[in-house]
Amino acid sequence: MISPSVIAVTGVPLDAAEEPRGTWDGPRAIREASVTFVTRYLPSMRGALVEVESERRLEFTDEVPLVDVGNIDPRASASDRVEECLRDHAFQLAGRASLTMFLGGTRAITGPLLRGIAQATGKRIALLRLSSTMDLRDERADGRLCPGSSFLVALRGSAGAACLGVHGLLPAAEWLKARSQSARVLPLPEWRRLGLRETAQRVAEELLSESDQLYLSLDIRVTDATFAPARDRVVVGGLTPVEFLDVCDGLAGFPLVAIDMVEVAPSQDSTGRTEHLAFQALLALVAPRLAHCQA
Amino acid sequence: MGAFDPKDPLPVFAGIPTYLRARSVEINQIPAGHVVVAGVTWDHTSPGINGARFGPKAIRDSSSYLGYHLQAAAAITTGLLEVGTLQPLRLTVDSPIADCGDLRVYPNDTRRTIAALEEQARLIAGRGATPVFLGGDRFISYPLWRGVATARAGPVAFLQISADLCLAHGEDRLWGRFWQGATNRCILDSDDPACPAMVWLGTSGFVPAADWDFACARKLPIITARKARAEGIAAAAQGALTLALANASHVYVSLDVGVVDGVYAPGTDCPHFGGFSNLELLELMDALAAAPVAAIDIVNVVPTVEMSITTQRLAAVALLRLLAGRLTA
Repeated sequence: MISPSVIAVTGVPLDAAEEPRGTWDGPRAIREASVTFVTRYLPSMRGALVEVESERRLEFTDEVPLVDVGNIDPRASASDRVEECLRDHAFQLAGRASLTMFLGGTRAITGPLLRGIAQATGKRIALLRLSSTMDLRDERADGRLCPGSSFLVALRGSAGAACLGVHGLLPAAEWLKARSQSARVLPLPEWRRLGLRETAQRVAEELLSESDQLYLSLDIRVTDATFAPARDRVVVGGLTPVEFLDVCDGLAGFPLVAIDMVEVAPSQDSTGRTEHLAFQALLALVAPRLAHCQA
Repeated sequence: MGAFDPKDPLPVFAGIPTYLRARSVEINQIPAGHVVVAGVTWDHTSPGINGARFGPKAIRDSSSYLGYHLQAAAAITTGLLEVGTLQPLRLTVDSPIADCGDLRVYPNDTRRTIAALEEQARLIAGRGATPVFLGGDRFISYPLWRGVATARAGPVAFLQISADLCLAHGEDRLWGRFWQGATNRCILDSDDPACPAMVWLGTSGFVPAADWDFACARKLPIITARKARAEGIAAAAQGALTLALANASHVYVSLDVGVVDGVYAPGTDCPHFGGFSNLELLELMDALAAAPVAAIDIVNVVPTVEMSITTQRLAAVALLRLLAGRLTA
């Protein structure tokens, strides 16, 4: 039984069917990073932490409003009905929790999850996506999920969408398609020039002017591969960890109904720093909901 | 004469793997005025990822890379030059550095280990040497500082280069009184010897609010990584030294490798982001190189979580940057 005020965490360990890169192991790795963090601080935090640069204080209560409901039924990954399974899973959770965090998994999970949430809440959900790729490729003829068309799929179920941070060499056809779609695609150099935190907040506000709540999709590949190498696409020029965390911190106050963290492929990074970054980005987003914040 | 002479030098990849392939000595043979490296293979007081017990071995192994350069024919006669700072380094058999191996620890007995480390640190510092302790988790700083401060005639301040404050107090329900989150509080609470000043440099990320409140109430000086970066690393280091040495003749420098951003040094007990870069750490070491140092420790190098050797190599090089001026005649 989940209380309506809690944040629900769930793992969606799905990999790309044709080119598996290890994202099936993402939920486990992100959870382990969270355990390392908590193990380090729990003995001495005594209910509160201070972020030393900002001097922001987080006061935790004895009952932190966070539950982990485990992973989606593993049979979903082998099923021909993956999309339906994902949609149902999101539907079940979104109807019970105030915010749902999905630990991916490939980025192809975003579209079905978003649709399940929209159905469960009956609200207009906009998608704000941070990613290095546009993923506007045409969908597969057989209807199966494909990471390369994940943004296109998600667009169908959203009440407005934006993708921030695309960079590197990308298919020209998708760039042309982005212009014809209602979605806003902002390349990383331009995003950086406009101001990362402020622009992300402004885009979120614009999306919310036409919708009720936000679905935030964090593709770890929006960060630079040098700093977070556990992913399939190694392109330099992405966000630094500090930039990524700052953007997440800036989005924490928006009415988020769901967050996913996708494309973390732990087997590609023996150091574990990628999953630590993924966990700390999620923490930056939900910390104000888990604890009383004081400036 | 046979095919070999026992006095012939060994290549750096052979022999007992001491730090920089310095000569090996027993504690009771340590010459005065030397830098003496000692390993502390202890990580039982860390609540994070274990493996810092392998730190001494990893740092020594990584230092062999530097020994390779130092043994090169040209380097033997002309030495090496750090081209950024133009700092010369020339190590010979007469260079004032030695390695006394690993100190005695008792893995299932924290209190006995505390006493043993304190006594061994006192013996090393008492011989007029400057100890360099290769940790080990962060808690080792407490007994080691006590031993060094007891051996020194004057008061010894404590400079903590770390992302954390480590000011937990009292009996923790899980970890008891002695664990790494309480390291600096144990030092501050120490009576004989007493700590004349404690300064933090490089603090970043989350710290327990109780630690923060205690530091604020006591007006303890904390120079965050962000502040140091804004001020300039060298200026921040100088500021930290000035604060530490206001009432002390010497300073104990404790370098927690977790002060470095997780992207540059992931081989630690819990990587975080927003810390010093690797270059900033080396700049900091250069800025502290001439400080009146009573002892140095480097802690929380956890080689078991990193298949590459980035973190241990950074630790070995950072130490060398800190020591270079003391080793070159």
